[in-house]
Parts: sequence; structure tokens; C-alpha cells
Amino acid sequence: MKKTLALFLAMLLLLCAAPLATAEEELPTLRVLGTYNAHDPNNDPTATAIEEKTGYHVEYFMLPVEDDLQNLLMQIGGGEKYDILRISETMYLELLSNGMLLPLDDLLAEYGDNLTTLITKDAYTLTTGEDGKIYGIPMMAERASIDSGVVVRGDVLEELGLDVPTTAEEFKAVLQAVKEAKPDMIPFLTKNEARIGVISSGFGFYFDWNEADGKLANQIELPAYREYLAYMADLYAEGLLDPDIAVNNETTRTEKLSSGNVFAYACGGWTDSPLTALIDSGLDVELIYLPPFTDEQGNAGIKKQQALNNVSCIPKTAENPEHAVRFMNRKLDEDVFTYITIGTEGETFTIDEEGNYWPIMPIFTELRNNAWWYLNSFDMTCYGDMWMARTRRTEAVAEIYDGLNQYEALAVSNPTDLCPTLPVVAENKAALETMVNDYVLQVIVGVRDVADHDAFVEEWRAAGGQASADAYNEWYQNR
Amino acid sequence: MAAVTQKSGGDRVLRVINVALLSLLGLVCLLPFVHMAAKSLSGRAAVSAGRVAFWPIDWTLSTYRYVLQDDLFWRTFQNSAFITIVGTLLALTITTMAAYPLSKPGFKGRKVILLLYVFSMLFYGGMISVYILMRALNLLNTLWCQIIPLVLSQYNLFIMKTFFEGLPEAIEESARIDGAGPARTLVSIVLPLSLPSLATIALFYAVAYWNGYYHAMIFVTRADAKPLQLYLYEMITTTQNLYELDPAQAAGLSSSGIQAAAIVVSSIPILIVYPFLQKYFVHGLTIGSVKG
Repeated sequence: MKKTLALFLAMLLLLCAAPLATAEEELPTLRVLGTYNAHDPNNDPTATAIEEKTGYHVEYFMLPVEDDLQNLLMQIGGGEKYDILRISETMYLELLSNGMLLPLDDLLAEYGDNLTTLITKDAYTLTTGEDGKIYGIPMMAERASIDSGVVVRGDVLEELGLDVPTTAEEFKAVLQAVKEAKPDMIPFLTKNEARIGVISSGFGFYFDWNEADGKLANQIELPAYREYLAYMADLYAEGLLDPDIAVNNETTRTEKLSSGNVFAYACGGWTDSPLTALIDSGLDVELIYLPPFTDEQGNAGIKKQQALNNVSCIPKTAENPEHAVRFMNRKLDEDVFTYITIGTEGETFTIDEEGNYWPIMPIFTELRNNAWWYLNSFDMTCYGDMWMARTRRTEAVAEIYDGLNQYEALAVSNPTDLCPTLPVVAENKAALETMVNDYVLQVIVGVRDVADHDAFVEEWRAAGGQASADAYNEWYQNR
Repeated sequence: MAAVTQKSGGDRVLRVINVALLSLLGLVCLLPFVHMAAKSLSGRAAVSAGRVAFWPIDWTLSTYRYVLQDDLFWRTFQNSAFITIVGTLLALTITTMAAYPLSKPGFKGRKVILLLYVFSMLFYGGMISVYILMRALNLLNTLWCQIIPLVLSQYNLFIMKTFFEGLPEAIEESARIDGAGPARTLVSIVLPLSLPSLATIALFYAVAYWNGYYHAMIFVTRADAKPLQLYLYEMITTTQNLYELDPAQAAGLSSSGIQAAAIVVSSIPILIVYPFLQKYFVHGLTIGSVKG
């Protein structure tokens, strides 16, 4: 009797075990291609953490540092089999327009519960093709934040008895005063860019595409832009801008800034390396982050950066599209996500009483330095706070971040932030941007005259600007 | 007599000018390297502010510590060493084996084969076709895809061929009389006589392999299969995000200082090879120019 019972139990056990065994199916090795970063993605603590938590073994590949788009097209066109591509928006658009991507709607419906609930519908509109199908998992900027500003030397202001400027005219007066009192100093060091947000605020516009009378218009089409440009050209003509504006690069900007000979500097975000170098240089300087300038109506604002960071998509040549979606979905499970992005509380990060996330250094950097590279997307309800741990790793970076973001109350959303991918816009974007940047530089250094601005706007319209404006407006009216 | 001293005086002036000019030229070639070395040994503040010229300011070795502890640096260094050593040996073997028969006037089809080499020297199928070939051969992301495309340079082949043609036929004839076959003649007689040209070509190949990164940039998407030069190239074209290091480690480091240190370290191996091959090199440079 006992034997029969034992046999029966054993058989029962076997029967129960059988479905369990099939549930533990063999997971395929996934092949993931990402953009360039200076680390070995297959040999990184984050990669180990991801494999440990998801069960998937992943082989990672990287695009080269230059000509990455061409290389990507050659690889995908040549039939290279990747399961996931984690690429920039431009690359995504190029693949999409070449019909190289797999629509994800069915896979998302079946395997992507996290992917569909933790990422907003608004974000998905950015990766929805013209046919209404989703072709990519969007990863937005981690946190809507201000990523540009103008920094001035507070110690110099004090020495000369000047107030912090709050309008474009005051700023110019301060620069003039500095030039007079300190002829060796570069009054204002900037990159060559079409718009410096803090200054353009003084002229009443904040974005590339601005709303005027219910319509979207490019900044260069605005009357205010002509004034802004005349102002910048004037600064240059009076010797208030760095004369090397046309040839400066990151290294020369770093050298100039770190030598302590720059009064005002247009900073390009919280990871701006020349500014970081200045803060780390140990020079005894006080930095003041200027508020966005007030325009004649008394308004001020600055662009809130919340655009698409990158896109994870699946090429048609992928061998395991279903597993690719399951893998990306699993990475968003609450326990997995925190662990793979910022590690374990108490070991790599802490949360203070006010709910702020702080990194524990240097272990945070040792274990999760490159974690951002592995993210396909994130939980949009909470990652903005968690991510702050990454910005608080060194005093310099934290200082710049806080300096720029003290004007959070003035931050405004870009009207085109939620615009889906418009083929016409994508096609012309890079060329038009170069065209505008070249023109702006020419006007600033005096090769072209701002009086001919209308002629340039016509040129710009003919080169695809009008088509882009029409496409934007069609979307804007029907959104 | 007076005319002679006058002439030798003019000679002396010429020599002084010559030496001065050549030293200046040599210095111009050397200075960038000295500048890099000085930068790599200087403190961060001085490097960032661009104050370092040819002598280090605030001596430090932290940049070298940073470079030498980077896993990727060592990994790519090993890759480059493998590619250079194996590649050069293979290239020498193949070049010699191709050049020797082609140097014999009696070799049938010689003209056609030579024409094919010249043709492929002038016309090239383009990168895409090479990429597809490499993919079909399963060589992407390996070290071999960086060795094979460079394994035979037609230019070096012609140098070798011309050199072989210049060897006296009588020597090979006597070897044949002693009963040596073509292979034996090549290995025991011809190659020992060809050391100068072999050394020259070895150096050409070694430098090309050591400095090459173009193929890797196209064929390699895995970080652990990259060569050192690609690692350097990427390092220089991107800005090092030092804020991601821990503060203690980042103290005293600047990205240009790190770049300088990596450049200095990576140029040392090939600098070491030069003196050993130089005596052959100077001799070998003239080969192929005068046909014996």
C-alpha cells in the first residue's frame, strides 16, 4: 500500500513538474546594438545585473563614434541580425522611412504591459509612424529640466559694483563695463548657436518653433528674432563677444574658461564640460546663473527640455522580436528597474527625509556608471526623482544642475514637444539647422547684414523651411 | 690656394645652414610629441588652462595611472599586438610567396596575374561589398577582419618582386645544381639574401597594422574586438565625462591630459621597433629603385 501510494505521489509530482519544466523555456541570446559610448558594454556591472534579473543573456554591440548613421544603415541593410536597436531619433526616422522596422503594436499588446502603462501615450505619439502603428519604444529626457543658461562671474560683478542683469540691455551695459575695467577679460564666451535661451527670453521667444496667433512659426520668421540677431551682432561689433566664436571648440572654450579670463559664459547643460572644468579648477570664482531676461512686456521664460532622448526599436531582420519585447518589458518591473538603474538602497544610493535620491560614491559610479546606456525606457512616474542621484555625483555637476534649474518656475514647454515624427520635418531638419547656424554666425561676425534678414528667410523657406512649417501647422491645427 | 679656402669657406657656410635647417625640421617633427608628453605629465589646472607647452607644470602621474588601469586600454592593446604580430608574419609570408614566382620570367600566366594585381590596386569594389563579404565569412567583430584586408599590399609585392629579380640568377642556378627544389631555394638561398627588403616590408606592414583603425571602425561593433588606435580615436573625438568618475579619482585629471597619456603610451611599442629595423630600413629604402 505504501509503495503504491509512494508511486502515486511520485507520478503526481512528475505530472506537476512537467508543466513547470516547459514553463522554464530556454531563453535565446539577444543581440542589442546601441550608440557609441566609451565603455565595454559586454563587460560592465550593469550588464551583469540585467542578465541576473531578467534571465536573458545579451550580447551588446556599439555603433562607431563617427558616421554612425551610415554604418547603421549598412549593417541593417546588409542583413545583420539585431534584436533591439537603441538609437537616436534621427537614426530611428531614417530606418523607419526605409521600411526597416517592425511594427510593435501586437507584441506590445501581448507582452508589453509595463511598456504600455509606465510610458505615457504622449511619448508614444513620438514614435508612431504615419500609418498609426508604433515602431519604437520612446525614452524621453529623464526629467523635464532646464538645460541651457548664462553664467557670469559674481566676484567680478561685486568688484565693479554692478548688479545682476535681468534684461538684454542691462546685460550689454554690464559687458561694456567689464570690458572697460578689465581689458584682458573675454566679456562673453558663447558657442555658435541659433539661440541663447536666456537672451532670447528678453526678446520674447523661447523655442525653435513658437506659437504666434494660433500658428507655429520658426523663430527666424519672428520679427523678434531679427532684433535678437541685431543685438548679438552688436555685441560682437563692440568686442563684447569672444572674437574666436567661429573657431572655438570644446577644448579652447575649456582653456579660456579655466584660465579665469571669461566674465560671462553660455552654458550648454548640466554636463557642460568647460564649466565643470572651471568649477573643478579650484580658481576662487563665484558663479551666478542669470535669470531668463525679461522682455518689454515684463515676461520671461526658458525652454523646458523634455524631448525624446532615444528610441529602442526592432528591425525586420530580428530573430527574436517576441523575446526582445519581453526583455524590455521585464526591465521595467519595479524591483528590476531600480536595481539595474541605480542599484540597491543603502549600498549605491540613499533617500533622504525629503525623498531626494543621493548616490553613494564611489560605489555608485563603479557599479552603475553606464546604466543609462542600457535603458530602453523608464517608469515615467518615478524615474525623474531617482535619476537625480546621477546628477548629484560630483559637486560641480550638482552645482550646475541646481544653478540652471533654480528658474524652474519660468520653464515652459515647447509646443512641438509632443509632435509625432513628421517625414518632411525629419528630412529637412539637419540641413535647415546647419543653414540657420551658418547664417547666424555670418551675421554675428558681420559678413552678412541683418537688414537682409527677409531675404534669408525666403532662402530658408525655399530650402524646405516652408514645407516643414506647413507640416508642423497641419499637425498643430488637428492635434 | 686662395680659391680653395674660399671654396671650403662656402662649403662650411652651406653645411652650417644645412645642419641648422635640418635640425629645425627635426625639431618641428619632435615638438608635438614633446608637447603631448609634457601635457600627459601635467596637473589638471595647467592642462585645462592651456598653459603647458614643452615642459610639464605640476608634475603628476595620475593620467598614466588612469590610462593603465583602464580595462579597455589593455584589451585593445592586446588586440593590436596580436593583429600586428600575426598580421605582419602572415603578410610577409604571403607577399614573399606571391612575389617569388612572379619574379621568374618563365612563370606561365605571369603577365595576367600581374595585371590583376595592378587592376585591383587602381580599382576597388567599395566598402559595402567588402562589408557584405566579411559578414558572409562570419568575420565581423573578430580580429581577422582587421588582418585579412591588409594582408597583401600590391605596392609591397612589387618591391619584393623587383628585389627578387635583382638577385643574380647564378646563385639560384648553383642551388638547383646542388639538388634544391624551388621551395628549398627560396627558403635557404633567396630569403637570407633578402633580409633588407624583408625588414623594410615587415616595417611597412607592422606600421600599417599598428596604426590601422579604418577597417575596425566599419567591421567591429563589439568593444572587446577593437584595436588600440580605434580606442584612441574614440577617446579623442569624444569628451571624457570625468564627472562620472569618483571625485578622488578624478582629482588632478583632465580629459586632454588623459588623451595625451594614452597617445604617449600607445606610440611606445612602435617606437621601440624602429631602432632595431632602422639599419635594414635605410638600406631597404633604395631597393627596387636600381635594378642590378
